[in-house]
Amino acid sequence: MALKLVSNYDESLNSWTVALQGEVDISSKKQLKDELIQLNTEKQLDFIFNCENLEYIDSTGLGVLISFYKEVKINDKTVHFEKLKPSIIKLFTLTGLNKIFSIR
Amino acid sequence: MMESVNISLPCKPEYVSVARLTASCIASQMGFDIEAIEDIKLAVGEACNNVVLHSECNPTYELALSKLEKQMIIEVLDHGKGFKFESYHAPELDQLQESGLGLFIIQSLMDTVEIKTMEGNGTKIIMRKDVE
Repeated sequence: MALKLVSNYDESLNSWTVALQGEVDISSKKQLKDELIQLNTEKQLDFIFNCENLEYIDSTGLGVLISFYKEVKINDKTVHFEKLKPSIIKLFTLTGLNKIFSIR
Repeated sequence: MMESVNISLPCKPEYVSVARLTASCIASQMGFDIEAIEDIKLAVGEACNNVVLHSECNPTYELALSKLEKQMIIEVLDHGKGFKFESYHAPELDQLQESGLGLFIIQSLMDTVEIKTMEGNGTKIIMRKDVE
């Protein structure tokens, strides 16, 4: 399954909302990285990732998220993850990312 | 009796999903629950990622998925450059590393993991998971 990002500027929250849909893996990580960097270049804001339809993410995808998190932190912004599936919460917990990222 | 599915995959990122889906299909046939199927899928994905990213194997590597009565055995074999296993260190999770998490994830999700590797002689990773 391919990866699709649906990105919008949320005026009320003054944030980017990004719905991650499908799979982030070794073959789609570059797409994720490029699209996120493009948004962050356009406007430096907090990012809210809606993961309701994120079916799969592996360590290469987590690597992109970690490096992107470091990037947004430079501008004193942050990232939030919403509606993660249980298997992905398990992976975030295993890798300690649940302590770094805001998950709600 | 052990039955196995063996596939040969091109060392390219776009085929890792084929390995994952095949493994999760067999795990489902064997009666693993959803959580265990997701664990197997991720572990196989990570093992194949390591081959594609690091082994420099060419043009293919091998995946063997074997069914025992109460256990699935997964072998991923490449004929790439191998590595010094002694120099592998588990990641420091509080350091927010962007890479090096793959093997740690595999070891966390599977019941047993064996790695046979030698510089210049490829790598074989054997993972096992029991049906609960």
